Amino acid sequence: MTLSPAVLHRLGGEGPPVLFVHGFGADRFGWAANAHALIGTRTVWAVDLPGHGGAGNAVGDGSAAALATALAGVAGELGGGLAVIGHSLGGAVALHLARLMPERITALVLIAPAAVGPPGVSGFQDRFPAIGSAADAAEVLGCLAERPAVVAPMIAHVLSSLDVPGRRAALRTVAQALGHAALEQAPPVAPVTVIWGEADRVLPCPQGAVLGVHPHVIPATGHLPHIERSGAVNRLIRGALAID
Amino acid sequence: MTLLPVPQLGNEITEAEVSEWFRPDGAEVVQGEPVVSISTTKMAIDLEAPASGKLRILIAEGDIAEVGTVLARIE
Repeated sequence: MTLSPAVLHRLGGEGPPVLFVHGFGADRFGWAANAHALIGTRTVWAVDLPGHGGAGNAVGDGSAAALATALAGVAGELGGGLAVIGHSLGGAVALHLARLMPERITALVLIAPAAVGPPGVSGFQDRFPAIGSAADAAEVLGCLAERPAVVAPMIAHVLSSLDVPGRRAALRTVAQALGHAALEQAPPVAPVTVIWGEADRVLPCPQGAVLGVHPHVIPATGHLPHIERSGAVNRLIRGALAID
Repeated sequence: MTLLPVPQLGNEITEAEVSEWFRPDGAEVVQGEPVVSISTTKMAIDLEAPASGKLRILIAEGDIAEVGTVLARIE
């Protein structure tokens, strides 16, 4: 199975390491609303997973486990006492990463994690690799957030990211694996905090506990609570990391 | 008086555009209330009032500001 390396980017800060792991189709740039809340007390990192951002497009079988293997291959640079914050697919990757390196990870914060709650019905990951125009992008990305102003600024970046040779095929492989992913049920190996938008149209907000904890539900918010309600989510992240 | 600067956006992003002030200059704002949306080439970010008080806008909508530039004061 051929896997491109995951690519780490240090966003700034000093102190114990925190790693942000993006969702399907996204990249290291999606954390700008959250990094600044941690930079004062943490060394903040963000990754580009294979098939995303500046990483190569060999994604193996496209599973969260494969992507986590690629991430584990570079995560030694981060040091121990690592907190991992993952969104959507990145949440599933974070769970797998924690199983690969349990002694290094002290906390997991999962934002609308994939393969944890009820299956999505939006078809987002199947439509995303076929986005051909700004109008396509507006329509496909429109299910991500309740406020249109959140999505519009992302369109140009998404279009250019899909222009990378081999990118669309890689994302189709990841999308197919997501569609067949087994439910994550094993208890996480690190303390876990789950955050979910109440109005998530991509991965429906669970009604009860998942991974042994009740999600913090953000009202009137969609699949991108860390952007749409960054203040509230940043406070939850800081609480989970025992900052303040 | 409390300052609202453009926060650290990650080491590759050095500036943002002020997209929209949600409250007008002189408005009484509450700490934690979103007061402005700023945009980079990748995404938009809402910034909250760092304190309660009167909002004094220093950078207008449409202007570009570097990380660290004071966007507003709360008096």
